[in-house]
Amino acid sequence: MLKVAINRGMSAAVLIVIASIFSFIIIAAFPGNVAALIAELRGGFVTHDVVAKVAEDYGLNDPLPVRYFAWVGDVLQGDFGHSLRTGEDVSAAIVKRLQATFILIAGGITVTLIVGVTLGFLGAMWPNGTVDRIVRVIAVVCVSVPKFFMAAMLILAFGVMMNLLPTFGFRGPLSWILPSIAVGIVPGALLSRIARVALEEAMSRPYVVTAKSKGFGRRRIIFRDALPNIVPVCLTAVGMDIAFITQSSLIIEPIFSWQGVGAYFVEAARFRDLPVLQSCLLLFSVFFIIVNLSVDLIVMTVDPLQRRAARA
Amino acid sequence: MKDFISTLRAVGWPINLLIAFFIFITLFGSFITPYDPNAQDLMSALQSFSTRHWLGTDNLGRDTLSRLISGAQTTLVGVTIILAMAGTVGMVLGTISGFFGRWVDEVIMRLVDFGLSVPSLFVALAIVGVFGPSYWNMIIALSIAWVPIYARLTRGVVKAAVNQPHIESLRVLGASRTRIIVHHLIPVALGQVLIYASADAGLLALAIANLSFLGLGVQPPLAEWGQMLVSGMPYLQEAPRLVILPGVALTLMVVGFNLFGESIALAKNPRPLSKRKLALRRQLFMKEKAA
Repeated sequence: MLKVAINRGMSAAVLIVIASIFSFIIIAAFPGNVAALIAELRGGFVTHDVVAKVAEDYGLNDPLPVRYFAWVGDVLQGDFGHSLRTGEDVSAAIVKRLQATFILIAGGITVTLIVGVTLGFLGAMWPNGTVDRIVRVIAVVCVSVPKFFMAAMLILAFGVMMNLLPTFGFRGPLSWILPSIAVGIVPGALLSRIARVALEEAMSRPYVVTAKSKGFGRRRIIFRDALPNIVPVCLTAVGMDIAFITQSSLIIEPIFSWQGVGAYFVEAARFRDLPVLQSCLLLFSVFFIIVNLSVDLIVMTVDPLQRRAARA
Repeated sequence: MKDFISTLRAVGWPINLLIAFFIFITLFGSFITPYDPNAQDLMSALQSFSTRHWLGTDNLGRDTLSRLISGAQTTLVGVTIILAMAGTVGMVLGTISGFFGRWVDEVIMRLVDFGLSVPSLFVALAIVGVFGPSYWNMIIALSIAWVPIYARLTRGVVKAAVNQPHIESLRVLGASRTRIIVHHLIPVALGQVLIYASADAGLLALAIANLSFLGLGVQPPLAEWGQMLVSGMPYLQEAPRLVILPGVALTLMVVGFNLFGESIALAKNPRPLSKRKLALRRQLFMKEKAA
């Protein structure tokens, strides 16, 4: 078990190194003269001398490997450089924005679990009944609805028409509700589907037939025999949902004007704010790699089958 | 061709009709738009549904119906180009990786692992951010973001096929590597990639809309649903149709593609079937036999 965990950790570390190289290369591939861009953004009269001085200041004349290792060294010390647009310290700005993003992810996961468990449960209790069918249709439609459209409809319904909830800004728990719903509903519907399909499959396994022939009731079979067997599948799905919700933060945060990391990333992409872009991409990549790794490890501790497969 | 028709039959006509409708609009949309989608007419801005403008006009007086049709073209053409590019590159990488194995495989698959662990929207956004927002940069960014999926898929197929007896006998018969790859491995992989691509089209349509919504994809004045929606947001209170119509259009298209891909995947790779699906399959089979 420990050996497998270390192995997984190693491959995650390799992925993180690739992530850092990718984040670095993408900026190095910037078409045109970065020094000229920086000089322009700083304002003032741009001459060759100014551009040359900027290039010297930022170490842009060094060979790529030297620049890469210098950058990694800075990042490891928590120095992500300064924003080209506002000149503020990127790491400070990101720390300031983490709260909103974490609340969005936490709220989104809460909504996901509520929706997923409720719908999945309703479907599983009466398989192929009316409820199950309605849930299936809702799930298919939900998966296809664009996130921003969902958010716009929520704003229209709860903000504009009913005037119930704040639709703008990050101001207290009431303003957290709509964004959480907007990011959580789609993964919730997906989760319920995955749980349903897994349950259906588990119910056709031999051990369920055995339980049935022993004369156990349906509820007991579902809760004692089938449900524990779909836990690993559901955990993996929740892990994917975290990635999905984080991805949604890119779109939902700007709509609700939250000052989160996702909004920061989008803003940076809009203004070609290279250091911010690079730092956010690296942070998000590392976050996803770590989430994947933890889900893998958790599933492995929960599921004896996986453990055995990993050992073999 | 027969195969194609039987697949379509397995999908079911409502979905086929929906997809056919969008494809028709894409091909012939420019002939049926009642107005030029980009023609501004400020005198008749923000009009509601009428006989002159069936679906009303937006804040610049552009005809919404025409813009919706033109948006379908933008999206579908974009999706097609991206799928073709990502599919081709992914298949090449996957075949190389699966066929040659060893360190080539290791390197390519590590890159693919990274690409798969980070959601595609992040990668695409970063690329667009560096190269600047434009239609073609968006296409390139999304293609790059989608390559890993196809590379992984192709590699799996190729790896499974390479060790099979018929490929081995080809080697014994003296077929060259190129011949094996081009004539015997790629066709197998192509089928899988096409199945997967049909399921992916919906996701790609969403991704294009997402980027355009953020102002980093399709640039105005070219009509695109996500971008129409975002420009309608300020008028949410007085003219919610400017937001609702493009959203509904996009949802319909994505629902269509998702169901289409799902049923094709179901029809093409038979999995251990549940009782319900088994019964359905039997029914279909009986129908075919009777016909």
